[in-house]
Amino acid sequence: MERSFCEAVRLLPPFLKEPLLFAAERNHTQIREVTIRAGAPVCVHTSDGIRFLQKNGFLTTMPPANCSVKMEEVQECLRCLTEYSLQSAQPQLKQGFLTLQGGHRAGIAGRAVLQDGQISYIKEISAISLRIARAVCGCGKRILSEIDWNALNGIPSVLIAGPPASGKTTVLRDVIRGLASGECGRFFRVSVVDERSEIAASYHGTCQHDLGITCDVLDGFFKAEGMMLALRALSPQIIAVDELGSEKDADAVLQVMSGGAAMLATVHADSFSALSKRPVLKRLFAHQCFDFVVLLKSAQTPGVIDAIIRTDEIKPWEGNCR
Amino acid sequence: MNLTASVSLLILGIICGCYTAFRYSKRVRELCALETFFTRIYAELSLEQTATTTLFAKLSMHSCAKTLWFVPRIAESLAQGTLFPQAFADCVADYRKTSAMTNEDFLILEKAGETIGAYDLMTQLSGISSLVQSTAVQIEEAKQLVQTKGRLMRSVFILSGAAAAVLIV
Repeated sequence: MERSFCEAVRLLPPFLKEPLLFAAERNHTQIREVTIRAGAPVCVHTSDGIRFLQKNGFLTTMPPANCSVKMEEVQECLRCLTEYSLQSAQPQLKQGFLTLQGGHRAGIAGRAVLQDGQISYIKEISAISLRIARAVCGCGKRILSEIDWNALNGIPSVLIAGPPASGKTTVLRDVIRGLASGECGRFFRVSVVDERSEIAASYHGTCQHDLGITCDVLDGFFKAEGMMLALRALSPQIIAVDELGSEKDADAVLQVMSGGAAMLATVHADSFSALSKRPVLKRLFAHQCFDFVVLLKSAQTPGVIDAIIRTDEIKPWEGNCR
Repeated sequence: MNLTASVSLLILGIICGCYTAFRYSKRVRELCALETFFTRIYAELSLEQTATTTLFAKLSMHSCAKTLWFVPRIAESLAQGTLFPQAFADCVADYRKTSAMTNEDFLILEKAGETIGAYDLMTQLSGISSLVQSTAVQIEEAKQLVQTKGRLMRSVFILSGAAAAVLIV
């Protein structure tokens, strides 16, 4: 059985842990995510699609009767996942997720408690989605080998694009690790701004993923603020961020570029044409911020690269997008 | 022969009397340590939102842990990866065997085990502050018992020993 799966499931209470371990042992499909919803059976997202977990550990394609999870059981799961430290998990919980030991991630759904217009806490948590982190070593190899990182005109900036669950963060992580481990002929100084603790998966201050020797992680910083701080304080050669999206992020990217650092970022997009329709990216392309765009295949094949495109060949800033 | 027996009875009476009084004052000491324990937890949670494992590691170095020896035991157990409710229940059950605290006092302690780490911060803080209040009431009651029952039992045991000694002589 996979080590990462066992590690993630170990954090769950026995009523879930045992059937899940049994299910993983019996079925040869890869379990990617486990969703526990109050009033519904446990959903297991496998490489073959959604399955439902029975109490005896068997997976079914149709929801089984009398297998609904109770609200108290969801609460118990949350307590176990936070190691009975809901108080210290509160700042993360209000953002809707929890980073667990081993880099796994629990997304939560519940009722927001507002204070001064801001979410101060999420209570009555009714659903937990446990996403199993898997480091796919070597999935960024193509990016590391096909792109000339030691180019005379400077370190290239790369944008990794793909649909949800296509492995953008996994590829980004592998590229960071390669660059900060000297796999491209030299060690690059990389600063990672990890807003949602997804890249490094810091748990109690320790990175759960190997990001290389010359990598600094700014955990929990907002992307824009983190990029500026890194640029000022850490003199990075490359700044890496996950999921660019807002105008503020675009402003920070432009400042980073003018500050002399290269960018390594990911973005949600199904295709190259969808990518250049997004106003934020349109603006960044117009400033020729990215030298390469890496397109990932699909959610069915996470971490698989479809194409590496040179932006000066396509010229997206001129509207030549296919 | 009679003299030896009477001296032994007198000494036995004194020992029993002193031990009974000691049990009453021991309960006060334990309850006072428990109150400090709760107050420390309140402070740690409200100021730093300390994680439960770290919280118990810190508390095990506090002076209250000398009296409440289950605290370092819980810290050890948590460091080994035991889930908090299990670690708490096991260590408190062991402590109960030697403690002078009453069932009512242990109910307060058990309530703490159900509260710590299991709810959001505000719920935990209000739960712990109510436990501090309950402990303060128990301390008052225990102190009164030291003054009344403790003294009475000590006198009764010593006098009974003395009376038995006189009768034998």
